[in-house]
Formats: sequence, structure tokens, C-alpha cells
Amino acid sequence: MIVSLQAHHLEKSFQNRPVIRDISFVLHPGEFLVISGGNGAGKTTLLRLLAKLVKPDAGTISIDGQDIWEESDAVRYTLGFLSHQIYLYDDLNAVENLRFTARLFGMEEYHSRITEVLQQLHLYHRQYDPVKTYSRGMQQRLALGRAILHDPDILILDEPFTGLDEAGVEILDTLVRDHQRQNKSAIIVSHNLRAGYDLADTLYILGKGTIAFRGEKTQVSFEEYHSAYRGILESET
Amino acid sequence: MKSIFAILWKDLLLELKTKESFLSMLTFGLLILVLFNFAFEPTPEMKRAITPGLLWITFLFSGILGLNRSFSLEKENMAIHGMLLAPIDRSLVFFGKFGANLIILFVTELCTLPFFLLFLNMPLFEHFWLILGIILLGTIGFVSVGTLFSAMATSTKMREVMLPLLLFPISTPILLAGVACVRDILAGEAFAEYRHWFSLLVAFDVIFLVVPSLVFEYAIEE
Repeated sequence: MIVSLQAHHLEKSFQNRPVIRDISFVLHPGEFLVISGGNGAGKTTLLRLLAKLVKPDAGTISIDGQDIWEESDAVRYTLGFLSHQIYLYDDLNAVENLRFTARLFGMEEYHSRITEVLQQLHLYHRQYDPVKTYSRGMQQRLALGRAILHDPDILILDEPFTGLDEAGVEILDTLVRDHQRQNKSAIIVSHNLRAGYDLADTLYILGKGTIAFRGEKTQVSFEEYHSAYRGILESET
Repeated sequence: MKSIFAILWKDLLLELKTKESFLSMLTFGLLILVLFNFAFEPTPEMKRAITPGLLWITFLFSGILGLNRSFSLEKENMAIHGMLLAPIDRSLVFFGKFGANLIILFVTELCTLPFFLLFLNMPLFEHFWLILGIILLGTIGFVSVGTLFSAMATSTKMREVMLPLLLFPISTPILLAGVACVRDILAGEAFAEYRHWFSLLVAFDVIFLVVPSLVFEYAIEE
């Protein structure tokens, strides 16, 4: 299934402080969009809006033309969201956490899928250990497993490299590349400019709640991207 | 329905692993009973008069502990967002949480009941099923509105204080009806004597089940 996402004039404020200001963009099927920006630029809020965790004050978000707030909850099948927080239960083990997610997503034959995901994440040997006994990197990997378990068409990843060691970054990279090969899309927020640039088809830099820079990777070198990032950060301070 | 059972089973599994809600509620309930017994040294007449009220106060106070825990565990790692990302109506999240809270509190109440027999000579077994039915009805209403307020209070900084402040005033009709029903049952009155209290209890159960399921979406919205 090929899915596109469209954000149209999004606005969001918290306690009268605008966090997202008139953001519009289209994510095409198979496109990898990487967003960077300074602290407080609105990156995480934008992802939470796209994941339908927070309702925008104005504007619309649609997936394949269906407004995610107007249409049924089924639209959430198409999204997989990895946040700063892991969204897992510390006292449950990996299998119990993933089984819970699978049941919520209405998956019928989830046992083999859970095994497959745990093997991909190199967590199979720890599948029956409580999450609270995992290292930060292992928890992050399992959180990624929760996000990809239902095989979503659009991955939304907020700082996916956080807490990962070199091996963890490789695992993440492999999973994301697999996703890309299936002509599926992703929106990735990353402070790691190099890693983000390598993954991206399209690059955005947020500044003060708006898209301050847009570029296609084929037309923007890493140096230009880095320079634009520094320029936007300096203009904000 | 599958989503409701998934959430319910997840909460019961967490409780089976940690036993935090059950043990704290049971201990707190027993403490209330023991302290009351030693502080007042009630006479048999006094015991008969205060047993229905003490029964419900014990259940309501210990229930607060479990309800507070219900959503605080969802806030650890923001696991509640994992549920909200799922393609299910948010009222199903409410019913799943409600079901788990109801089972945990009702089991705790069942374990507390024998101690009422021990400390207050409550004639429990003469009217066991009737009393159990009334306790279940009262617990349904209390837990339903408590689940809603627990979700609301979790977003506040003083959630342990906020929940009883919100919940106790609105639970007053359940407390009054529950106490009156148990009092009349223990006194051997016919159903006609406490039918209006029973009807009130059922009516509030219906209201407290319908309204929270409708507004739950807004209670958990940021």
C-alpha cells in the first residue's frame, strides 16, 4: 500500500505561546523526510501532531486524503511512532509489551511477527526479562520494535539514535533501510546532522515553529545543509 | 472488545507481577478497621450502627490508593501514549482500565470482608450474596467515575491530593445508597424497604458508566 501524508497550515500553541506556526508540507510515498532544528524549534510537537497525539489549533493533517481527526481511528494503522519516551511498561517483559501492542492493533497472528522483530532488534535472548532490567539502548531498540511491529507505511521517529551504541545504530539503520526499500516513508527528527543527511531524501530545518529551510538532498550538499543549520541557530540566539 | 480485554489483561498482569495496588489497598483497609476498633472499643449496639458506614468508608479510602496507581503506571515512560497511538476508540481505553480497576478493588474488598466479621461481628454469612451484590454495584459506580478522575488527576502535579478531592464529593450518592442498602439488609429488612436506595445505586451506576466513557477522550487529551 502506498501512502502519502499532507500537513496543511498547521498551528499549535501551548499557554498562548506559539510552538508550530503555519507549517505545510507533503510527504510522498517512499520519501524520507529528515527534520532538524535547535531546542524548542517545535520538532517534537510537530511529530506529536502528525502521530495524532496532540490536536492542532488550526490546519489539517491528512493521510491519502483522509483527515486524521475527521476520519476513523483506522488511519493510525498507517503510522508507527517512536518518541523520546519508550511507551513501554517496565514490569512487563519484551514479549508481553509487544503482545499488548499487537492486540491493540488488532493483529491476528502476532507470535511469529514478535519473534521476527525481536530477532531483528537483537533482543530475542532477553525476550522474557522485564524491560526495567534493560539498558537505555536496549529499551530504545524495543521501543523501535513497538513502533514497527504492525508494519506501518509511515514511520515517525523522534531522535531515534538516542541512547544507541554503535551496534544499535547499525540495527536501526538496517531496519530503516528495509523500510525504505519497501517504498515506505519516514519522518525523522535528528540532531545528528550527518546521520540524518545520509538517510534523507528531503531536509527541513525548523526555526521558531516554522520551516526555515527546505531542500532536496540531490540539490543540497551536506556542507550547505550544515551551514544553513548553523545560520538558523545563530539567528535564534 | 478485544482491545478492552487487552488493556484489562495488561493491567491485571502488571498487578499480578507487582501486587502494589492489592497489597497497599488491603493493608490500608485493615489498618482503618483495626485503628477504629482500638480507638472506640465499640459496644455491640454501636457495632451494628456503624458497620455499614465503616464498610463503605474502608472500601472508598482504600480504593483511592488503587485508582491513583492505575494511571500513574501509565505515566511511567508515558506508556499511555502507546495505547493512544493504537487504532481504537479512546472510550475502549476507559473500559479496559475500568474493568481492571474493578476486578482489583473487588478482590481486595472480598479479602477485607472476613475482617469485618472478626472485628465487628458483622453477620456476613446470613446475607452474603445480597451484601456482595450491593458491594459490587457500589464499586462499579465508584470505580467508573474514579477511573475518569484518575486519568484527569494524573496530569496534575498534586495527583494524590487531587483524586480524593474530585472523587469523594461526586461519590456521595453511591456512599449514601450503599450504606443504606447494607444497613437495611443487615437489619433483616425486606427489599421493599430499601428499594429506593437500590434504585438510586443502579441509576448512579448507569450514569457513572455512560458519562465517563463519553468524556474520557477529553480527560486524557493534553
